[in-house]
Amino acid sequence: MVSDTPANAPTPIEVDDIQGLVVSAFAHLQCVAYSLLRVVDGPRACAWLAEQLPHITPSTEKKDGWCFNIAFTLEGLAALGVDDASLATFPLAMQNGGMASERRSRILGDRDHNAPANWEWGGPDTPPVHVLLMIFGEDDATRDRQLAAFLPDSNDGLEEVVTLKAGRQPDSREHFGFADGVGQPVIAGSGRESTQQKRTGHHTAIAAGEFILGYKNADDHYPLSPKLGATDLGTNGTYLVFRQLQQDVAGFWNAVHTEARAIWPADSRGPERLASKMVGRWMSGAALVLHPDRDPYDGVPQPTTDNDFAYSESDAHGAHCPVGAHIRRSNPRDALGPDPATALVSARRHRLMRRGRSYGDRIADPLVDDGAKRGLHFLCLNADLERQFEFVQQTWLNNPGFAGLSGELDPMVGPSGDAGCPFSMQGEPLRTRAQGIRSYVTVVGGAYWFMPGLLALEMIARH
Amino acid sequence: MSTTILTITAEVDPDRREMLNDELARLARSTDQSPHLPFSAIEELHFASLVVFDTPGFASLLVFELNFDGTLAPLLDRLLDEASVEMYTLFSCCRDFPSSEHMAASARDALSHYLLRHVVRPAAYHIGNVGRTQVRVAREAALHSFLSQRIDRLQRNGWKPTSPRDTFTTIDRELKSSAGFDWARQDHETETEEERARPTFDIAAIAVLIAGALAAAWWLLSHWSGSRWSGTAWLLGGLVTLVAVIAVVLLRHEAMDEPMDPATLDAAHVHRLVACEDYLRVNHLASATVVKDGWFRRSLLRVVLFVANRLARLSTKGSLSGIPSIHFAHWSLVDGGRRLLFLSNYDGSWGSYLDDFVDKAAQGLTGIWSNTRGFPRTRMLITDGARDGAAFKAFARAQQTPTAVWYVAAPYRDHALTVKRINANTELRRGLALGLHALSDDELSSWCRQW
Repeated sequence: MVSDTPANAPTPIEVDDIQGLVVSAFAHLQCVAYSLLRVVDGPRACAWLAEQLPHITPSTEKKDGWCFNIAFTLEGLAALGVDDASLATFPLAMQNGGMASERRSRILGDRDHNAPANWEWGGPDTPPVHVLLMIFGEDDATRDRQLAAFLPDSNDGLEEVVTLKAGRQPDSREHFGFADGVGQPVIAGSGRESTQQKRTGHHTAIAAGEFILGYKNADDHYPLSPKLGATDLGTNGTYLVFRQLQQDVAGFWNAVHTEARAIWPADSRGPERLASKMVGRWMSGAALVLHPDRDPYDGVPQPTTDNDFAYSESDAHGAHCPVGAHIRRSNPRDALGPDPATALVSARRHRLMRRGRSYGDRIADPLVDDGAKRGLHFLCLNADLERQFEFVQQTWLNNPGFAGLSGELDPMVGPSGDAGCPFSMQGEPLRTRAQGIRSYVTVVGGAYWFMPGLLALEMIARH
Repeated sequence: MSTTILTITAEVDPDRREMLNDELARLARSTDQSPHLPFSAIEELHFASLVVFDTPGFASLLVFELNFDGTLAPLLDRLLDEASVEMYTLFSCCRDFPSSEHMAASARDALSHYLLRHVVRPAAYHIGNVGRTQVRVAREAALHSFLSQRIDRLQRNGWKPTSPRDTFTTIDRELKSSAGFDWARQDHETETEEERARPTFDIAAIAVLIAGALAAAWWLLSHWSGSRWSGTAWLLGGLVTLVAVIAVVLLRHEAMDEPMDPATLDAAHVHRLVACEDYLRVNHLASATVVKDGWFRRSLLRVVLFVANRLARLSTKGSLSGIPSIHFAHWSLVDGGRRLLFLSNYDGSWGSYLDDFVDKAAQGLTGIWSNTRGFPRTRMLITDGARDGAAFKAFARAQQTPTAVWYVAAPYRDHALTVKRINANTELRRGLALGLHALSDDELSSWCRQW
């Protein structure tokens, strides 16, 4: 696949007004604290916010050993005193209770175990969350020092609801053991194209307006932007999705072992193969499309992973990477038709900038439950919650009719209940179908956030 | 078998609006179990809906959408067998409904006549799975599901298919040894030869008509001007002038258009719409748009719909200009062509449906809806317009009306059957009906992949 940087160079983005997490994942700062706060006194909280402004990390610099970013729920902005007319200019997905609302739950598939009623934060029965502090540090001590410095005290009009921490992980795998974060778009005009090119053998530069408000999007239009009174508030801001996804590692691998024995009794590497088919990558991150028969790196994540592939030419029918595999559902690339070029353009209107991190310690034996809690703090950025994050969730991951399939959901995260659903692995001449595939990932908290630009932050603080 | 798409459309009597709302609310509550809306007994019916369109400046319209197998007369009979009380209650809230004295003699006949008088045939429509009756959709889904489980069992017992031929033979044998599927081997065609040839024939006939008209004009002009050459020149000149005049008039109209500002979209209205979406894997969209003033736009819209309808008849493999997810959709003109109704029964989410509009069918849709008020700014009838995704979606939401009652036949409701899956099921059944020897190698490989 040709890397497709548009011939006319994109408008440079205003890095000094954009919060750092938008352009960088802060990968060099391996420890993080997400502090969720509640506003108890709007004017005081605004005064506190104004004091923090000089400390917020923009996209220009990487501070010594730590970074600090901030975001707000719609309820948070209301509690800070933003008027109703201004709040109404925010996306529909954030209104009327946002991610935890009944309507959003239907879209996102948050039912059964995943229902907001069971959430540890952000749900209908937990304290409201208004402000999100994201503090990144190169080690636990730095992070905790900065957290202590930035966390408001009781006079600041804010109280801490919960602080979620994540420390250094031994490598780039998520808890099930798969290399994570391989496929990631690059913001056109951010100057990051070459980094991604080196890391994955290609890069997909996506118009800045898909991730940052105030810039032209993939359709060559400006995304809708929220206002404060008559003034634009969106420019250089973005919308942040935060979902805490708990992973039951032993549950997952035991189920995979059982099912693999049922369908491939003679294959000692059956469990690894089945799990890789479900993900669409081997555990090293190598793509099944490129390496259909075995993991070329024997499960070990590589510093660079070849991600330069498409589906329509080399794997149109899913014989290598199943049509319903997690990576093929979450980014179908050129697979969905009516022709590869149209499909690719169409798929690019639904990309997400992932900023998630694993939390909790790695399990010692993936087949033995140790009772410890672990998972992924899934964070992603997009300019249009409905067209990007919710679309991926609803139309691709949780769609039982995805790409002509019948009654199957995403094998890793689809809300298929305890009974699970089938998972087809296409092949020549005939598919093999795993049965009772259910998700061992549970949503335990979540909310939609507005992550403003620095000028907009000041407007909110001093309005 | 042919499929019919139409609406029964009547103006609501404002004095009886409350009664109508109550009845619709009652029916909406009952559509799932359906004791009061006994459509599930009508096995010809695929989808049906009831919507009340309140457009400022127009009479409120009660629209009863019906997508069914066969022709209207038998369907109407079935409808009155099963739901005459409901039909009576609903349409007695409409204008010019026969008074009870007139009904007394033969209530059923009077109701039937009333409904027939209010039938509106679509100006353009699309059917995702042409020639598939509701019963057939359900049967082929059952066949697919049954044999899929048999295949799973065989594979778990160690069967490893070695070739497409082996795959077919083994599955065919499974079918032969199973009772209850004799139908699968009979009468598998979806369309008759005549039905298949009809769309192309129609377009050819239209081309012949146009060519004939041009030839006649050329002959007259040649006669009038005295030579063939000058006749040709006059004809070409005339055509160019006609196109230029239409283009100039169109550009002037487009310059005066007043596109809707997406920021003015009423959030409460959208919340009412989304409150009824995504309970099933199919969704319904009902909208009424006001055609722009003047005969020019009204005529243009009729021409565009006529062309769209001819092209839609040619659609193969279930797509409408690249959109693979529409079971039944239709456009109809009401109020003497001043209001355009659109009703669609589609797979998946509203967002994915509208994105398909934007990505795959923007020009066609712009060609139709740019003749109605509030549409995003358009150049030369088909460019720009729906390409502005956010503006187009805001327009679509603003024009959409909540569906009061929606009936979805069991196969679509319970088995999440998409247009694609229904076609795949038909392909599987067709292969089994034709037998191994009738399939080419490509057809056989494709057949194996549909499992």
